[in-house]
Amino acid sequence: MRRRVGRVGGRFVPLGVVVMVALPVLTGWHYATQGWRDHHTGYPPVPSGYTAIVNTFGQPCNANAHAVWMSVRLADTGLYKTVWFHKKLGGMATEMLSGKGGSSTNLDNDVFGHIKNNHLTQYVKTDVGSYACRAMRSGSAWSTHAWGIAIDVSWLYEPNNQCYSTTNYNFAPIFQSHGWTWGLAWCDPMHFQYATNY
Amino acid sequence: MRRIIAIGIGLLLGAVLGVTVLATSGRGEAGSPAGPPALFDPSVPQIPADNGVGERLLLVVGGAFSTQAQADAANDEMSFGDIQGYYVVPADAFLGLRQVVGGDGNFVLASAFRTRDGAQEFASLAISASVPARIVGPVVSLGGPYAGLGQESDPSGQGPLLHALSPEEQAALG
Repeated sequence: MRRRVGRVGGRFVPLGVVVMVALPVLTGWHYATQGWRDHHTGYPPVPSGYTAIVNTFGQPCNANAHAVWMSVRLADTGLYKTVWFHKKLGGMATEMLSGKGGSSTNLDNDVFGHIKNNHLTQYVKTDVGSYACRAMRSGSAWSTHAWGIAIDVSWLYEPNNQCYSTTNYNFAPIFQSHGWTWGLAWCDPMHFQYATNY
Repeated sequence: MRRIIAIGIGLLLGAVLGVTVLATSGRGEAGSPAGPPALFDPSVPQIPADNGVGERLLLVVGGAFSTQAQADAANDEMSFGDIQGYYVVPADAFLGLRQVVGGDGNFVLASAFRTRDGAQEFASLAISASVPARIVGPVVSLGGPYAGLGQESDPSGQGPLLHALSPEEQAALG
């Protein structure tokens, strides 16, 4: 009986060794080559309408609206642009990103992580911006930028009132699958916002 | 043999069609050109059109022009993305502004602020968007048209600054 167990166990020893060696090697290879994995951690509910936005993210222009930053490379110029956004939409430490005091992995680790991982950064072009304590263009309602819950991408190529997309369509589905609404619906293809009905 | 060739051609055509559909998805999706939903929602609060009459203010100035038409045209050319940038205001709407912008500058592209932090934040935004920006003032508002006042953070960090600062704080602007 003892011999039989030993024989069976002996068969699994090489397999165990292979797993023990292969797992860290594969994990190491993944981070070395891909350099990233998504987390989907700490996402706030996507608010619908003004009141829900305030309930979720606070008043416009509050200190949390520009508490977290990330650096974005613009493919057409090679320049890096720093954008500031709401602390509930990013800034959480992950394997590849240092913590910036945020409470989720949404925008910096996950959305832009997917864009990088899918080799779509070539479509992120001049210019990029997020937080701004301003009204909507030609309006007197607060822009979603005033909460740091909107980001304009490639605005030189995707101007306001253009009802089609020339570059952002390449990665728009990534934003949309992470809770973001694309402004193309109202002919603002540069604009992505983490809110609906606003 | 013919059946195999037909199936092969069918698969090839299907693949080409699929790739074409994927490559063009997202293009040409015409939406309403009218603007985002908030512009048409009467329940959305509007930023008060406060002209800060009598207050000492700082202005971020993007240019000065002899006519309003020239100022409007220049403002349309300045891209702040989808947010409101400068407002076109008469130079005489602010005491001390005409001396700064010069004699021909009857109309000015400006945005008004109560704090230096607010003015600097907007100026940085403009410069990062390759739009000219110069902080001038303090000037005194004579009650002209709305020039963007209130679009800056309250020093408390709780929301926008929608009230006048104390005379002492206004004097500290310079």
